[in-house]
Amino acid sequence: MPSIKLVNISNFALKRVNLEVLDGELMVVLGPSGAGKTTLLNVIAGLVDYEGSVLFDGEPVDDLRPYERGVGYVPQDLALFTHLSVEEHIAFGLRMRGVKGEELKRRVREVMELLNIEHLAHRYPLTLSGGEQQRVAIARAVALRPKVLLMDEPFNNLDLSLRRRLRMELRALQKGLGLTTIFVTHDVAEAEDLADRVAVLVRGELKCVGPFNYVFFEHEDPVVGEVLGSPNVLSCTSFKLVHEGLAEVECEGIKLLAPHDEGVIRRIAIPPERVVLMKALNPKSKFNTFKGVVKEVLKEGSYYKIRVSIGNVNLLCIKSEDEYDPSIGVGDEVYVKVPIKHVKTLCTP
Amino acid sequence: MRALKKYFKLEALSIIALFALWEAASRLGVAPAYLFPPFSETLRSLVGLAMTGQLGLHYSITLVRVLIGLGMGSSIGILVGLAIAYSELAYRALYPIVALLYVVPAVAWIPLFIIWIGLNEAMPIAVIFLCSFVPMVYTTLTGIRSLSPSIVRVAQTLGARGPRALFSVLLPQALPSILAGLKVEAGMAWRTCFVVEMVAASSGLGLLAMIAQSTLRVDVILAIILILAASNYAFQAVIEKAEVRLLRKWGYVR
Repeated sequence: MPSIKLVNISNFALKRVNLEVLDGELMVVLGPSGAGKTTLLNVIAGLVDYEGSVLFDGEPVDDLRPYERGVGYVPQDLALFTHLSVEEHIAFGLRMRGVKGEELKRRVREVMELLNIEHLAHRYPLTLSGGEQQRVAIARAVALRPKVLLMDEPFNNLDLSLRRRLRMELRALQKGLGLTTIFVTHDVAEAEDLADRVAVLVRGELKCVGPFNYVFFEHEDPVVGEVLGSPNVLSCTSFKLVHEGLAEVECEGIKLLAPHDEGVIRRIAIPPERVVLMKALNPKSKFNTFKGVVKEVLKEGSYYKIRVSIGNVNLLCIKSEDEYDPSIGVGDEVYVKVPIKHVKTLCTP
Repeated sequence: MRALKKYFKLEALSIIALFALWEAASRLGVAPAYLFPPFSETLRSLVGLAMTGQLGLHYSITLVRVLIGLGMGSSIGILVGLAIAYSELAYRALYPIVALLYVVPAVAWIPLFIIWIGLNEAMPIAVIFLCSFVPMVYTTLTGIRSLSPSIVRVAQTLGARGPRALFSVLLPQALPSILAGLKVEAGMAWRTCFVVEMVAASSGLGLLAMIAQSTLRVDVILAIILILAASNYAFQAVIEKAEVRLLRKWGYVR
């Protein structure tokens, strides 16, 4: 039975959203800004009005207030209470529910140990680093053993390496506790690292739901493609292992090398911003280099979208203003290089 | 720490320099001594005034008025501000009124209050009350409204609701701006009290200054201004100390 079920949720930002989140699952809701992601979390928490129904373990919770629903909430700005120490943050919700004395102390200690923040117990939020603040916000949210943990792009303002580390920590914590979690983000890499399943939300509508690879490689909706960074997805017709970790595949008429882990590569995805465009063939460029013709050059904001046809394949390249060579125009012959390490693959056993 | 000490030395030095300049200018005869007495003379008058018991009496009357007016006005102002900020309906309905009252100087109410309340002890306190009340409602309100809406949301999911959310989250979160406002309003309370006493009271420092004016005692007027400045400064310093201590504890300042 799904742990969280949304039935026909509509309001100012959402249009008939239906979603099921399984018990212990980490569901990533992926979408551009303004898609209604935060509103979706607010609906589940009972913080905004909506039509339709929210069910927890099959029971509708629409008439319950936010504190009665049992959700843990980590908002985008974390909303830490500057006047409370780390310890008091964790105790806050427990106190509101009448937990006192030894039990309060014990439970606060448990949560601090869980998130490795015992040494910060008496510190105040503004004296903590970005990563420490994240842990406190998560600790405060999980202290009440919520039915579902709602996270709204909490890692946004952190540097990349810290983000990666926190993702791993969150994943371990979430699996360890078996905590049903809905994590909202616009970052595809974050969705890939975290998600059991991904739900793509665009302009208030849920476009598709499934495991990351399914959504990434199998989507057919161009709107979903845009959210995913418009990867060039190609189906492969032949597969040959060349070397440990390297395979040669033929996809829609072009032969290229791709990284290989295990199984048979069925599809590949080429991120458009990783494609290299050259006017003349670079003799150093041996692998995955193809001759093509520029079909279209589109300027979108500060980016150029260039479509190059290579045989039957139309490959999309995205270049920033600095990267784009303005002498490349429609009808020109160009060489296209697809760096092996940036080719993503979908395999079947 | 050394830098701080140096800073304080400089602060003290500039005040001493001002008094020295005043003393010198007067001794050099910039103006007749009865119009512009030297600093030392002013100090002597101050001591003389204190010896008669006059100063103590009127000063304590002014102090009590300021304390009652400021204390009641600001504490009730904070509570009303909290209540208005908590309810969206109350906020929309009452904010325009608060904003309108905020721009009216408290002393403008004096003529009206003389008629409504009369020339008694309640009148100056009422003016000071209003002088602190309206700005504190305003400050509290804007302080809370400037908090991130997700603070309230998180507090709600954690079970803080109604007055508990107000006092356990919103009030402390808005405390830095409330204290900053209070510091300003403490100064305003002294100023307003002085004006009320000059215009419409039978006691207090303001009255003392008016009496000194009618007898051309410039030295006494200057002495009273010194007292007023020192008291105002002391009030603000106490509030600032509390503010800095709090902000340091919470990590706003290192």
